[in-house]
Amino acid sequence: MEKTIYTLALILSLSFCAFAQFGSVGIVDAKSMSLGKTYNANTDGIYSIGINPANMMFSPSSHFEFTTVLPLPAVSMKVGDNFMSFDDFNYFFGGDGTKDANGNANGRVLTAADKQRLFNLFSNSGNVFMNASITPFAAMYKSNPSVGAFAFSMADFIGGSFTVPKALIDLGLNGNTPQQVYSFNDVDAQGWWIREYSLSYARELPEIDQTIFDKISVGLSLKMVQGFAYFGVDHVNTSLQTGNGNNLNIKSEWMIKSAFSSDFGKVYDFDTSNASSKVGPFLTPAGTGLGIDFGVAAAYDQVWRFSLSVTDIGKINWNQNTAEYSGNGNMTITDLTDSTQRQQLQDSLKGKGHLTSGFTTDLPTAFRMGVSYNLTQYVPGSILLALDYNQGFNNVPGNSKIGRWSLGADWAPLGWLNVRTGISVGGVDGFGWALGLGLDTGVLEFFFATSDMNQVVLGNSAKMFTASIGSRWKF
Amino acid sequence: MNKILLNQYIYAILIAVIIQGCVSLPSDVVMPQWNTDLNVPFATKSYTLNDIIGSQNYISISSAQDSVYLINSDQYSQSIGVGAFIKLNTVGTVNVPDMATNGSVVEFTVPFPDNATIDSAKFSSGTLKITGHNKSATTVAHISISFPGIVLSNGKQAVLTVNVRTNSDSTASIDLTGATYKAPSTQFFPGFDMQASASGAPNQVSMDAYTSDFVFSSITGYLPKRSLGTQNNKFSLNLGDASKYRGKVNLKQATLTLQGKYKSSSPKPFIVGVNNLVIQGIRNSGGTMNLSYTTPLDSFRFDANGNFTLQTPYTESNSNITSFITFLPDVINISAEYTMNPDDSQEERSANSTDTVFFTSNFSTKSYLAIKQTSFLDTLKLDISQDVRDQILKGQGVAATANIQNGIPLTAWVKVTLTDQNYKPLFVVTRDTINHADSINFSGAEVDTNTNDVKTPRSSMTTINLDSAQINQLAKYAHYALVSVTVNTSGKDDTTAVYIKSKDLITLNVFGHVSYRIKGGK
Repeated sequence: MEKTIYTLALILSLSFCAFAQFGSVGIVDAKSMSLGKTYNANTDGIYSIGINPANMMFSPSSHFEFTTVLPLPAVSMKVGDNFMSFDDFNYFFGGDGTKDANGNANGRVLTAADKQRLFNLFSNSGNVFMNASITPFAAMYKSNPSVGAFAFSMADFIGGSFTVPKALIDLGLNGNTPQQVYSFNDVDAQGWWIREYSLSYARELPEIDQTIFDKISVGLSLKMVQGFAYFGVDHVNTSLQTGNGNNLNIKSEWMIKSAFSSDFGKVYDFDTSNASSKVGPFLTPAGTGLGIDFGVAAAYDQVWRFSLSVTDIGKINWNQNTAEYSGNGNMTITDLTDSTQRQQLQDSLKGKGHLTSGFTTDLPTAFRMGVSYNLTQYVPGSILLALDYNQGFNNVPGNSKIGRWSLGADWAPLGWLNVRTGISVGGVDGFGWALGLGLDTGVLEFFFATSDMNQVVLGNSAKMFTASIGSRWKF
Repeated sequence: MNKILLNQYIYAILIAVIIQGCVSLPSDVVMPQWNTDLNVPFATKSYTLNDIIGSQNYISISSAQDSVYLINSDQYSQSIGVGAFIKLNTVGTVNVPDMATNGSVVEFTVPFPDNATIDSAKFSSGTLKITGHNKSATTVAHISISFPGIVLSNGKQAVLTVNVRTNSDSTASIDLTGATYKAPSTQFFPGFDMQASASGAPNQVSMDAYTSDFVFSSITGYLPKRSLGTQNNKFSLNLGDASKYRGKVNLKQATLTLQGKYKSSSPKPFIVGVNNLVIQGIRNSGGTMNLSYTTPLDSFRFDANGNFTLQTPYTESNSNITSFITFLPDVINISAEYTMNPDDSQEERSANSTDTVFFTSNFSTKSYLAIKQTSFLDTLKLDISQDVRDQILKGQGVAATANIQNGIPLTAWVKVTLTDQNYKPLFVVTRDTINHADSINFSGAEVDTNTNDVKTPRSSMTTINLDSAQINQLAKYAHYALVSVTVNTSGKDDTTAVYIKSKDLITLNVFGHVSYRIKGGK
């Protein structure tokens, strides 16, 4: 592929994304991040968008709020991996403390123990990720319970990950052991840059004749999704086995799908055009789609809240500038001096690309439920306790089929200060301890958070870091 | 909008950095380095003998016949013109005494030189000479002669007039250059017909006619047997490296073909005879050997169409040719005497001055041979670029195992020693750690003792190890490779010839592991 496509893929893979209220495991707004990404039964206002639009009805009546880039933009970001800490990185990539004749640091010469240590780091696969979300604008107005609440938001999500196959690490470190089968089927890479325009409506349902709950509300969000870039491994069935006479038996069968906005210019190596890049804030989409969120929420006894929702039901239809790269072939390398065999191997691994009519990807459809309890006794001020369960139905960026539980506590000891913390288990990230602060000036609210405080306290043993900031205007 | 997005990213990164402020990162990020063992197939190849020996000046391959011709000489050709044959150098003469002087015509014939019989001819040169004699003391004689068969180059019939004074002789001649001759139909005796008349004193006039020094550009008739002389030519055999096998090889299937061709435009050329044929092998270092046919083959004839092919080529059954070829001469000397009309046949035939006698011979020895253990040494320059040397330096060790299936009935030992640019040995590459030898061995195919043909390929396995020190020497200092090759045929003993065929295969499967230093940059 061309350099351009590699660059774009790298950006998407390593820089990106989970964002505001996206999927079952993606990073979210700073307030929710500080609660261990606990948001189902405790959010309101603009932070309900993408989670459960019915939660908008828990804002005060005749209430208007919005977020924009001032004074603090709503940005969340998570970067890291699941295998190598900063200590590990320093050890393996920090050199051996000596310099060569030109004054350049000498790389550490790995001993057998070092190689084993490095290999063990990938025992649970080697996943590298970076997620970011940006919400340039979101606004909500709640009228009264009978009229309901309205909201609009625009949010960009850029996300991606790359999983290094464990067999590749084994091969690189230890070479190929005869007869052992090295499977690369666990390689994975996926990334996209999408933008959602969301229009939400919620109202209470006084029509339901019930006395159990203080109120029941429902909400619906309609989303128009634009996709600017996508790449993903469709499937991989590739392996290497060293057979008799050290013949290399290679099975190579894989496919990668991609789509890029035409505004990126020429991105494919087979593209013979001279298209140039013209990237701007509003790109020509490579794919479009529609999505729906809907949910129901209820309050009980003034202190309890319950929430059920399904979000991001829909698909993105990528139909502009879409391509497939694939390799297919079983071969046995019997002679490394044979240029024909080497070329066959290269062709099979590199694959060939061609334009396609398009493909579809799912939105990160997720089921969410939560419960919260507002504790006003026994503590100064008030403390809100919330428990969530989020279950994704696919593994697109921001989502996971592995269920995630989280528990958050939002303590407001002074009225203007909120100390928030939470834990999250499950999903793709496993355990995380979150911590954050909120400063509420009445009209303006600030949020600072990290959902992985446990990594912060680990110092150089950390493998990732997460940061989230945001602000909200309230009227 | 871009600016806004960028600012948002910067904010996020700043916060992240602040939060992670206690994290220390290396000032120089540099890839670690380590050794890894790669088990790879270096090569799997099959070579026919055709592939191995390729095209050399003394070896040729006939894939169709599955044959290898170890010594396949050029065609050694001798070419002799027949100019000496179509000359008549002697003098033909006739005397006409007491010619009538009343003007009556006298017919007579001047014989051709050498008793030749000419039906027709074209002269390159030649002379007709008439000498008149007049014994009268008072009367001048006039002699007029015409030659009915001769047309001069000016297109006129040859006529000669001689005026002879009293008591004297007078001579006149005709230059026959460019003249043609056609024997008149009325001619009875061989020779030039002449019609002469004379005037003068009766019974006092006589004449002599001479023919001499006839050189023809073409002639039809009878020419007497004549030797064209002995032709002697030396030809290089171009043995190349094959000369190294002198005294070590027995070549069992050799042939020599002889072919002759009398190239003439005439439909009925003269017969060519070859006498005293001698084929002699000469070594530059001295020593000769004659090729001899069991039935002495020193005299033979071309056929009536001017062709000659030795019906039974020289073989080991009818000649000493295998000894002769095994002698591996540097030079072949061919000597032969060529004779035209060797049987002096009177039959009418034709010849032209442009006619040529060609005689060719051609040696070949099929690869049915025995080679005693023979060694030879060669020095190869290693053309290794600096980039490649740098890559080689990353190698920490190599163990290469060669599994060889040899279908060629030749056993070989190969020893390769690397040297520096002053030819100082560095180390032996071909140290066989399995067999504890400093050369690798390719056992020759098993040979059927009855047919001397390949029975089954033979397997051999050898492993070569290079350690990091040797790889270091190879990368830094190696400039030449001294290659020592020892071969012998794998018959039941070193004198039993075996068949070596062009499609005989040797299959190499070379595999092993390379210990390689993975080393990246900053």
